[in-house]
Amino acid sequence: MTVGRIRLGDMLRAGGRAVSQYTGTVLAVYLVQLVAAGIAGFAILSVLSNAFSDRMLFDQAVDGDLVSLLTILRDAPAVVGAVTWIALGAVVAWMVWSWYFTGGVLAVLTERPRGRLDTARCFGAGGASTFLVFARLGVVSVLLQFPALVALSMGLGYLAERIGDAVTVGELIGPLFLGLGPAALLHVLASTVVDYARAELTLRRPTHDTLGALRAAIRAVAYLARRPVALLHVGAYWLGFVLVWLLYLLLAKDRAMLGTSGALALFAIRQAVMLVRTALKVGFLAGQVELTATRPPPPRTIARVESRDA
Amino acid sequence: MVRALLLFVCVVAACGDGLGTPRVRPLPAVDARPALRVPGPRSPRNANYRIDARYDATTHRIEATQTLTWKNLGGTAVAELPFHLYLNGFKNETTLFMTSSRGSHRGFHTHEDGWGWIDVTSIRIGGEELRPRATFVGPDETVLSLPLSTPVAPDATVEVTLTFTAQLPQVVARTGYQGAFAMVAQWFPKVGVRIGARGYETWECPPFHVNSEFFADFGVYDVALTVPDTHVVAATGVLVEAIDLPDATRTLRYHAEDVHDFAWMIDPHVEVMTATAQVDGTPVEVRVVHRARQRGFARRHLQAAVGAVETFSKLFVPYPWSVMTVVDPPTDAMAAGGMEYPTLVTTSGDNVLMRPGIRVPEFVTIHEIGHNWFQGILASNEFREAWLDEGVNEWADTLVMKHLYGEDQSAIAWAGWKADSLPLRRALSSELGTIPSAVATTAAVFPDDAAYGDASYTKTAAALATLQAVIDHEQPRFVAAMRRYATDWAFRHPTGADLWASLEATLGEDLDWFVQPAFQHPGGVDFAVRTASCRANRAARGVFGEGSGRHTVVDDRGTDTAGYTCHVVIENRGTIPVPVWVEFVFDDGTRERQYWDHRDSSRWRAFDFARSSPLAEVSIDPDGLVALADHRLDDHVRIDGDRHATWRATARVTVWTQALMQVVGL
Repeated sequence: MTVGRIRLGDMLRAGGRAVSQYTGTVLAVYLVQLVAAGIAGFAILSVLSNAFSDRMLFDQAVDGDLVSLLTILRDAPAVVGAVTWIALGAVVAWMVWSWYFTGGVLAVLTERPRGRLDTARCFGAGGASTFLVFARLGVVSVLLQFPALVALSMGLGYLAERIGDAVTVGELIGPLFLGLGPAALLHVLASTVVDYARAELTLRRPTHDTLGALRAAIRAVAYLARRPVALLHVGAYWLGFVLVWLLYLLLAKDRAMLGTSGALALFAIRQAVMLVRTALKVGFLAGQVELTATRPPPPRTIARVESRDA
Repeated sequence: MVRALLLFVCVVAACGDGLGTPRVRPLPAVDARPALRVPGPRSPRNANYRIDARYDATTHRIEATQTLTWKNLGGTAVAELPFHLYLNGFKNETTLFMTSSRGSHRGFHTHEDGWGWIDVTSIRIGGEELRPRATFVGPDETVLSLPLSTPVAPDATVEVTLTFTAQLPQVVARTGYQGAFAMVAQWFPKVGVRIGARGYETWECPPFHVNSEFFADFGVYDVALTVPDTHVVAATGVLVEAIDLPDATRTLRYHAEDVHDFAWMIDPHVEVMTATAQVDGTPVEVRVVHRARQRGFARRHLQAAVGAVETFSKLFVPYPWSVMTVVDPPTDAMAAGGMEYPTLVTTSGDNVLMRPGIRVPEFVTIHEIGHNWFQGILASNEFREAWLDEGVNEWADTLVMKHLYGEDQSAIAWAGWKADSLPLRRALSSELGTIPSAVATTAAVFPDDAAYGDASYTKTAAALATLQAVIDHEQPRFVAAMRRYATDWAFRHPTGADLWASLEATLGEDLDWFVQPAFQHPGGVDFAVRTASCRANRAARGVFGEGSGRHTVVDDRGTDTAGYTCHVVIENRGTIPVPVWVEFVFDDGTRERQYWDHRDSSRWRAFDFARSSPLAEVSIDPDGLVALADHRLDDHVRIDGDRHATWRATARVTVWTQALMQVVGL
């Protein structure tokens, strides 16, 4: 079978198609994410209520009084620590759960089931069947991200020195790029490698069940070196991510959103942003699946079985 | 093409730091104003210096001859003269400065190839060479003691001529060079100060310790500086003479009166920005010396400096000199920043993160200029009583900041955030009650830098602000009392005891109840609401009466007498008693304030209320006047919890968490 060369536009269109076709999947992933965040939020609420519901200084801090906020951060380190650990725990837990959800989404995008029931079955089965190999890929990704961590450490040192010396914003822009740019680039490269390894592991699961995480990652590195369109696609995704963020800032700008109705409005706007970002991510995965489908499959090892008679 | 490239590389290499090659500067015009704004003398002028110095910009070395004319103001004859040789503190790693600082000061480290020293090669009195007699006293070479052939009798004068070479260190602890820039401070042999009651004076001339700043007698300084004609100089006093010399140098002669120190800056790459402050209807020229890339910050420093000179003059005593120079050191020489000298200070805080409205640069300028009052004019002993200039100045700075930038936003008014300088400093500082030393501790005796800084700066400022709140609680009197202290003790050497005596005399009340625990002992203020509860009033249950009239009340239904009885206990867990307002808010919105005038040793106070509405909130020090208070979180409590704020905070943190989840996962 000959497949035409995929371009960035094809990948973006594939993303759009996937989001419109599997809106329910997008909504389901978003809702699970909201529930996960909500559970963390409930724990945070419990901690904050126990510690601060009778402390008026906390009200002032939440109202934006800087001195009260600093006082609380200094005088209630245990509470601040508890909230931080709950939030970080939720983030780490979500990262692990994401192996399952990503497997499910990739399975849906690969197998393209029709109807809610089939989609749900496909999602569940896909997530379950790839979870362990995605977990192993998670370990491999630590190795892949190591250069980014080293670059970040060096870059932050460089940046700290330059920030100490900079007196204008103009003097800061160059060091910001030089300090954080290499680390960001390496991180994006490593993440993209992992993304394409995941896509291939899902796509080739039916035919290449011996394809392991490490081999998929190595193949992804080689593939990305040949197909820079994948990196362009990543760039487009992050551009969309930032645009959504800017749109949110635009919507929230100069709107105090005070009181209960204001808080609800703010919550609704922020959740809309989260939903759009989830859709973006699903569309992004769809583009990657579209490109991965054009990759030649890995060679299969065929064991030769000799007849006893022969 | 290759040639052009090579040329470009050569140009870049030649310009190295991007500042270009120093060019010959026009001969500066002499100042058209006298050193003093109003003719003096204002001080005893008993330590007068004539210095003739030549600066080598390549080696950062100064060759100088100095004549000290010293008058014995005491009641006993003086048989020796001790001199501070501060630059020897940077001579090697064994000096007291180095061992006490562990090689760093305010986060800036000493440089292995940039040691500083001063070598006095000759000391002559009346033609007699006395250098061989002079010996170093103390643990290092920062104090040189000169035995005199003839003791100086009371009210007699001695003239001493010293020849010395001063090698500047690579910039550290306020002094030294960085590239072509140099801040030349504590650079000449400076005679000690006679302290003590008349007839019982002793020399105060301690070795240079990291926590000890400086202490000297007032005098007149005539200083001639011979420098390269490419360099700009800023110095204490006014420029009275400028002469170009044939060897590409020039001599600039500065004159200062009623000052106790002389510092100068030299740099070929700076420019000068000027403005005028008005003091008592006469002008004071305010200058900021800065590099071109720091021009934006220089404007901020200049505005703050003009405001500081005018406001300190109004609050305390009028600025007596006719110029004020602010040196804004290059960003790679910030170790020279944040220091005060008479009529010349160095500032700092120039950083891209200090956006307009984040007034750290302004605060540094105001603080250093404030030292021209609290140490420059009121020349207290910084070694013995660092709090008397640092902390008192810090308290005064908060008044000036509020005056210049407004209440509640004197320190920060940026991106919706606002904060006043003293509360912000308190929120960022450690607990004042846990400082292991009293405020009134000799600088070198504090256990560490943090204790020295917290006690000398923050705790002193917070204690004075607290005392001010107590004194002013009926009518403002405290600032006027401080003005009286400043007026009475200007151009003298006041001690802490002099400050308290002056305040007590002016205010007409004993301050010992506060001064002793707040300044003479460790400890702090820690208010807390210990108990706060209400119960609904009703007919009492139980057995009442006797004999036939005995009856039992078992059921309170229908017998409510209405209203509530509330009981509140507040306490001060600290050691410093501070009278304080307590505000009680009731459910029906009514408020009641009571004053706990707690100057005695009582540690707690109970409040009882009978009201139609239950108590909702208790707030100790509702206006935040007790700046000394630690642990403010338990000073303002409500009886029944209210989760509105925790819901809002949770919503915010949860959204951030969710956003982070989206970054790391699906």
